[in-house]
Amino acid sequence: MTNTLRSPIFVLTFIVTLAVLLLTAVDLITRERIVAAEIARIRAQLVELFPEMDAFETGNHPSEWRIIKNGSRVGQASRIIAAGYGGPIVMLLGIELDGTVRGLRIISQQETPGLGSRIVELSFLSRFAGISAQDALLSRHGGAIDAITSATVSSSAVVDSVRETLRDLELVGGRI
Amino acid sequence: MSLRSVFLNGVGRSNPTFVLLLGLCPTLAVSTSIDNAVGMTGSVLFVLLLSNVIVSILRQWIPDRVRIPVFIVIIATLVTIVELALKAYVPSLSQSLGIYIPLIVVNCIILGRAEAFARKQRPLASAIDAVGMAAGFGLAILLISAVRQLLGTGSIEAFGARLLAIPAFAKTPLAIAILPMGAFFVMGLLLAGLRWIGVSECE
Repeated sequence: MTNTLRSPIFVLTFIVTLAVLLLTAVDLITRERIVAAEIARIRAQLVELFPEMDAFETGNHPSEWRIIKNGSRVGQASRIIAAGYGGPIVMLLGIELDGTVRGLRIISQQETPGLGSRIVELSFLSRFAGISAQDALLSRHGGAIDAITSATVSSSAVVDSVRETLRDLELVGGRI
Repeated sequence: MSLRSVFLNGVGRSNPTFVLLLGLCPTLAVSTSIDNAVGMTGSVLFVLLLSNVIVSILRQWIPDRVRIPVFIVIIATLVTIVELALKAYVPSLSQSLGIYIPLIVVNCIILGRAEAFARKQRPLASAIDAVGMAAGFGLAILLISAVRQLLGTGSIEAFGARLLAIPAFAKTPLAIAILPMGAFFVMGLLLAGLRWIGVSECE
């Protein structure tokens, strides 16, 4: 009996079964909290972009939020996705009523640590405040945004998708 | 071996990075800044400590023929649990460490210590070995990060504080030091330097 219990196939099967059960349990316990944490993050970033807001509601698309103050709309935030160097860069773009940028925040990214990952730094993101579509270019192309050293791909990905979003907005009148 | 020499062994004579040359993939990939190095060291310490202790407790029971798959299952399970727990309970830490957690699975130091140490030693010694190895790894990756950051940006910054700045370097930064190939150059030169002054010896 001891020999059966200690046979390689039994031990391996037992360990793998244990691992699967353990991971299933951890997944069940953490799943709801992970979703809640993600929602809380987006909410915190909305407040960061529009500190004056009273409330927000989902807009025309599930990835669009109307920012409400005193019952009227003061701006809009859109979740936009750029194709970065290491995978999708998910961002939150705050837009003023006149169609200019209130601010930009990164929701998630997988860019190279220390290089492309610096797109999350405020020194890069704060450049976007107040710009409109024609300024949403890297400074070497005559725009308002300085690319991050050695991370041109990540910088361009962010700038390009912000510009596309603003351009789309201009096509429908430039105001939100 | 006394517990003290087990610890010092990981920092010096069997330093995982500069002597055993283990775990170079994450070392080279994330040694671009001090912040990254600290994050990676913390993650490695945590997973290595748990995996060494668990392997050591189960050591009588794991047949030699399947030990490697068993170790890998244990390590991968631990890493996944750590990743999920961080996401659920400390999302801010998960945001900054997110990228390193999956890298730990490919860190040979963890598997290497399970194979070379924990499967033959008692849990306490294995825990000390994990702490020593993580400290040795941390020192090495911090040293590489500091050199790369200094050459690549002209200053050494950690968590927003500027520790050292050399204006001449900042004027003409060597961007190559931050790029992946710069990691190989810096690592190679440091290794050569350490061997030359006799700090690390070939086993």
